[in-house]
Parts: sequence; C-alpha cells; structure tokens
Amino acid sequence: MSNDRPDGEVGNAEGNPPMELFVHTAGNEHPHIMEVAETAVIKSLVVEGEEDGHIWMEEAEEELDLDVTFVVAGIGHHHHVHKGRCHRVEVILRWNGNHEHTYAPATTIATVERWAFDKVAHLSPEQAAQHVLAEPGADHFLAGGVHVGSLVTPETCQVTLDLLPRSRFEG
Amino acid sequence: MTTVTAPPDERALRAHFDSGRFCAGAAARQWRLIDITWPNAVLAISAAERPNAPSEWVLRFELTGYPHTAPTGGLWDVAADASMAPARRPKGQRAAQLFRSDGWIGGATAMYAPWDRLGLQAHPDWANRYPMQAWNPTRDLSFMLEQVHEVLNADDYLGA
Repeated sequence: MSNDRPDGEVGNAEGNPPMELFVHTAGNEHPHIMEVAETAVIKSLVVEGEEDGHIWMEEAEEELDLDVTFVVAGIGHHHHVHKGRCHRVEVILRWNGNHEHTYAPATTIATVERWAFDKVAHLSPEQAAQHVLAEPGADHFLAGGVHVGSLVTPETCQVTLDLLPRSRFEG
Repeated sequence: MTTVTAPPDERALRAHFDSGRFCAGAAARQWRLIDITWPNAVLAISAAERPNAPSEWVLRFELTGYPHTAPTGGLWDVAADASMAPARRPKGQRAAQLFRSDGWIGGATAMYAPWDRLGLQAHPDWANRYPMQAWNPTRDLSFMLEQVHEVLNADDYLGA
C-alpha cells in the first residue's frame, strides 16, 4: 500500500508490526492511511508547528493529548482519527430555513443525519431512508463516514449542508 | 526480457484499491475484493441481515477505460461462474430496481442506475437528471460500491 509513514515511527523495539490508521483532514472527504507503531506518541501524526495539529478519535468530543501513545489512548489498527485546526464545527442545515448545531470535528455525517432527520425534519425511518445530506453545489451526496471537520472551508469552522430527497431513477 | 506493463485503466484501478477510501470500506467490512482478471474485477458487498438471505452479494465489474469510461457490473454467482439467475437477485423496492430481473437488456450484467455504463447508455438524459449519482471521470469504484452498499443496507431491502 502507498501510505504515509511518520519518520522513525513504524514498528517498535519489540518487533510488533505497525498498525494502519485512517486519518481524516480538512479539504478531503476521504481518509488517508498512515502507518504508526502502537507505542508511538500521537504527536507523531503532526508536523511540528502545524496549524492543523490537533487530533480527535472518531465521534469523540475531546481532543487527544498528543504526548500519550496510541495504545494508551485506545487507538488501534484501522481506527479513524481526525486531524485539524477547528475545535468545534458549526453545521448549518438548510431545510425549511436554517438550523444550526455545533459538533466536534471528528463527528461523522451519520451522526449529523440523525439530528437532521429526527430533530429537524422529523422524518419517519422510511422517509429518512429516502433523504441524504449534501454540500451546496456538490456533485455527490455525503457518505455516512465523512467527518464534518473535513468539510470546513478555509479560514472558517463552518459547514453548510442541504437535506435533499434521494432520486428514484426513472427512464 | 520483455517487461509487461499493465494498461492505464488497470493501473488506475489497482491504485484505487490502495486508497484510504477503498481500504476504509474494506476495513469496515462494507466490501471486499475477491479477484481481478483484467478487465474484470469481482467484489463482494455486505448486506443488512435478512431471513434466508446472504450476508453479502458478489458483483462482477467490467472496467475497460476506467475511470474515464463508467464501469458496469452485475450480480455474479461465484459457484456457477455466471451471472446470477433473475429469481435469486435481491428483493426490495430499490434493490429490485437496481438489479432488474424483468427482462431489461442490462439486467444480467449491469445495474439500472446512472453510475453504471449500461444504465447511462440506455438513458443518455440520466447524467443531467441525476448528477449527484451519475458516473463521471472524477469518480472511483468506491463511489459505486458506496451506492450499492447503501441500497443493500436500507430499510426497504428485503433480502433474497
């Protein structure tokens, strides 16, 4: 696999194989893969002085202490983490007006959908299955695994989403 | 000695299989790669639990020209090494429409959807009518796998 490898942080002295993490960042809906040793410190995901140098576990509210190791933090093989600069992300949902909710950046779209479908639009499960979230002007619907922190625009910590009906293909 | 180099479309697909998007779906057991025999790839896509239904459905894709040309793919019977018989295809409102068994010409090898090559060829207006789900060259195979996985895990999926 073609992965990013933090220098000197792959494997460990006990010969344990490195583990792969899915790292989500702003500006890319999909994660990239990084190989790290479970005994490395979380800081190894961050370039020194990097503005985006804060790390969260997926769906976690609190950011991680960069000086603890992955294994101590409970981060294992194929876990998802988020790296970014926004500590909170303001989501503006457009559905019969604007509705706002603030989330941690590692919150998934699946979680935002539950708020949008249940609390805002009051959709039944059957109706919810026929709706999706998308960014204005996008050419695709958002997948449930996307982090809201990956959607923030430069210089802001804000995301605007539309609640849309899913198409039924007709010929 | 002659070095055999894979064609660009095959190299593009194999590079995608190394991407975070594809690997994250595989790690989450949403799909798994079974075989690549160019220009075909066989993948299994997991489905919601339903009585007497498989936990995953296998699709065989034809990927000539990937990603500039849309892939096409249909349900595959691995044991028979053939397209899945119409009576055994998934049931449910959207699943049955996607994997048609009513005689649509593409039903045996393709999906009735704007992300599928045959679906688009049969409905040239779909690219404009359904731009959020239509194939374009910026897509990758995981986009298609996500669409199918969503259908096979929705409330209206009824199983086999």
